[in-house]
Amino acid sequence: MRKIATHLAAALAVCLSLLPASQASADLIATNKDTRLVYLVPLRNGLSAITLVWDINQPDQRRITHLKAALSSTAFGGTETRSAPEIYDYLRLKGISQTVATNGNKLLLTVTAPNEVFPETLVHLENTLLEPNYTEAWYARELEGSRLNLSSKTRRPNDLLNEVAFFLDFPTAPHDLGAFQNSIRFGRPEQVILRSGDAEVERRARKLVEKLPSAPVTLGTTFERWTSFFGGEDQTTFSLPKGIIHFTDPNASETLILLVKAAKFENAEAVVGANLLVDYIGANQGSEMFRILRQDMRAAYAPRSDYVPMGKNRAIISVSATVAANRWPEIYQKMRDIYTSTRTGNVNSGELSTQHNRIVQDFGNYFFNRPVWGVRQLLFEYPNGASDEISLPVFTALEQASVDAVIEKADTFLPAIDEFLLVLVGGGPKPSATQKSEGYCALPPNTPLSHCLRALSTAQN
Amino acid sequence: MRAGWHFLVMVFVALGSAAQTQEIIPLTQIGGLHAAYVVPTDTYHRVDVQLIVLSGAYDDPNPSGTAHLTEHLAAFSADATVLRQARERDIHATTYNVSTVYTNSGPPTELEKLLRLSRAVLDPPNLPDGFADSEIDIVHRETLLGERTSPRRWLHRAVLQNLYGTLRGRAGNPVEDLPNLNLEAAHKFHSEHYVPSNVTLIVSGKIDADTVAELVSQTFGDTQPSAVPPKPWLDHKPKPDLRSVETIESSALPRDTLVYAKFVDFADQQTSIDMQGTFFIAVDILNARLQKALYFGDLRFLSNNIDWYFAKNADLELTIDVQLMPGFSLAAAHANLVKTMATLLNEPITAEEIQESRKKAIVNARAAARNPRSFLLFLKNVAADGFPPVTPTVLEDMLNETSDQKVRDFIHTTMRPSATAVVLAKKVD
Repeated sequence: MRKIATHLAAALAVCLSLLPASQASADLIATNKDTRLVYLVPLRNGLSAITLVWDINQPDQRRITHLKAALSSTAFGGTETRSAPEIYDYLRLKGISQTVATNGNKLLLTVTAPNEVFPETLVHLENTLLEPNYTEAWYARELEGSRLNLSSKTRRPNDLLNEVAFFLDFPTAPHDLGAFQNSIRFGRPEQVILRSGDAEVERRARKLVEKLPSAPVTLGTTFERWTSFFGGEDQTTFSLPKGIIHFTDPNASETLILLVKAAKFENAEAVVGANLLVDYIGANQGSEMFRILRQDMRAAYAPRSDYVPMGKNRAIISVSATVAANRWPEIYQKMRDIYTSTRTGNVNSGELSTQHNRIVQDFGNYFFNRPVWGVRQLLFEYPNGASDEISLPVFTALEQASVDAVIEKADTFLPAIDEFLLVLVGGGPKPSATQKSEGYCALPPNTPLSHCLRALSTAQN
Repeated sequence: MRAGWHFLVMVFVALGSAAQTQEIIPLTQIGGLHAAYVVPTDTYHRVDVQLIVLSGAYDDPNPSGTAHLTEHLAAFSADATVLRQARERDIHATTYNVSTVYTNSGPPTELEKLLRLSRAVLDPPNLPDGFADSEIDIVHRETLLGERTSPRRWLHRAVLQNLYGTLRGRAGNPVEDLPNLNLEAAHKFHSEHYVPSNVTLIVSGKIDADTVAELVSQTFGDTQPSAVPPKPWLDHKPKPDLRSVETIESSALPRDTLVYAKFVDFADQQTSIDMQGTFFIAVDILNARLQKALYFGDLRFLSNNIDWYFAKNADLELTIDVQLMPGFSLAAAHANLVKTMATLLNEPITAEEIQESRKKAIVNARAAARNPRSFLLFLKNVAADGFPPVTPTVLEDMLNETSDQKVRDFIHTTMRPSATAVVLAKKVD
């Protein structure tokens, strides 16, 4: 019998956060317009959920990290009437979970609870937002906990992709703004997305929004100070440099190979086609990478591909494997071959059909059981809120996808492998001069990946 | 404004609703199996077959890692024997400390095939020439990957090696033993541990109990009772006066980290199965007090993980790992933790405190029923010790039947001075 009793780091974890919209004032993150309320189909696991969405306007990585700490402190750090441990106990007694995340340029606070306690959960949420009362030390700890893991240290593909996504969402180099205020408050959001079938819940959600303060029309000092740095920088490039980022560890017996590309697609059909093909390449044990790299070559335990949606018709595509350091050049070439073979249409239609069925089932499970996942899908399509019947083209395209058509158009759905950035973390031979010809950046120890992403981007622009 | 109420409803019709009461039905026509159960639920349109070998990493011979290698061989052999259409399914097999679990899942119409896949795990592994040999390389890759990506893994191992004073049993030595992994030991492990009397079967999901009983009888009815392998690690206990402290350095750590382990011997108890309700309430009270002191009371502790392992013979093991904020020294954190443990029961345990923890444990159990994976882990939990599985609703009954006095007795026994080990791990560049 094992009881993993407490994982506070996970329970209190937040993902990303950000600067308020253009309506921000010195201390208040809020809109000065009407909040859009969106009612999404209820969850099917006995839970209800509400997501508050605040827009971001051109944030940079440093401010995002600070605001992440501010929202997390607001959610967990105590109120005028409940201390932090009392909040922790309350959440556990009621089965409530709170999650902070970002979706592109939006900050999300999602609160989920069993249906029977959801009305009182909204009262708690109201108190949390209206009466936050966290300490400076609590804020400092949230700030420390909000930092991304350094993938050169953990060598997890997920951490590496998190660093890449962070760079793509917030490419602007950090500005020195001096000490950040820890007195930020979160007021009326741009959107509220509700997943509940209870009329009382809907009434209380509207009441909650009405009680939250809206931002004054006149901009406060904080926003003016920050906006002065932007100077029309393009935040929507959504591209990664080509070349190689290399973190060398001469003592490592293994090397993580990761190829990654920021891909844009023409439409939902292309999104679904690319997702299917990427999963075919390496998403599970029936994939090409598992079959070839693990079962045939015995080279890697968990070779994989990742398709990470980043917005409407945008995604990160990646293939990766951790291999014996001295074999990385050979395996790297094989990974390129596997990808290219799929891209040229060398795909088993029956196996791709099985993959299609899996994704359809996964999308359904996620949509009805994972509120944050569902909200992300909605916001990709309706970033400013839905005003009528909701239609998600990706879901429709997924349902209607023809395996044969996907195979036929594979080379248009997937970008060429030469457009990918290569990240190497570990030991083994140095990359060849040919491999380095597109660009090369040696990542220093204890340094975020963005250091090299920015350096290569600057050199190539 | 209301939009999209009916969105996607027609596309994904085969999905579950809220959790319901879960009945546990023992099966009788099971050949030589240790036990088999069916747990019918209507929550999700699926069926899961868990074949639990009642041996895991703690049962490793020399070298450590043999149970893990055996899991790989048996999983691929079973899959190849029964199927296999590529991409049709993933293999789900995991080596835990005291058990190895093979999970085969699918729609209810596939139950017969899922049972055959499970049954094939008990056959001697039969893999193509060279494949089994090279699977040792895969275990190498997997083990080293885990070491790099999860410092907690080797930090916990280090503290348990010091606590138990051994490289076997509850501690283990899988990395250093990697060069010694071999197929002969794995096949021997399979022949001794993958035997019917050391296996529990749990079938859960949207299925009819009578149908399951018939198919289990068809699939496992020919298995014969067998000798059950011994578990010598259950008798291996640290000296009560042990107070080990070790300091190490590592460049793989994100922050300075302290790991603490404590062993508690419930000498007057022979089995943990009758103490489950007490265990869950008591550790919740202790966790709450630890959190209040460490996480909420001292903001220099960045995060903490508290883990309790309650063995089948009622040995209790507590591990705590904490990451420190920059500037908070390991020595000061250690002193704080020692003081916290020594003073944790200065305030008496109140009836209100017990009742609140009882409620929290019930809420946790209900939450587990809402997620298929959590539900399977819940069923596996005590079943991995050879006991009947416990569903969330059954645990709820156990919690409500537990007396306050039993909770207080459990807590006072747990917090008496006993063997401890600490690792102070310094992050270096």
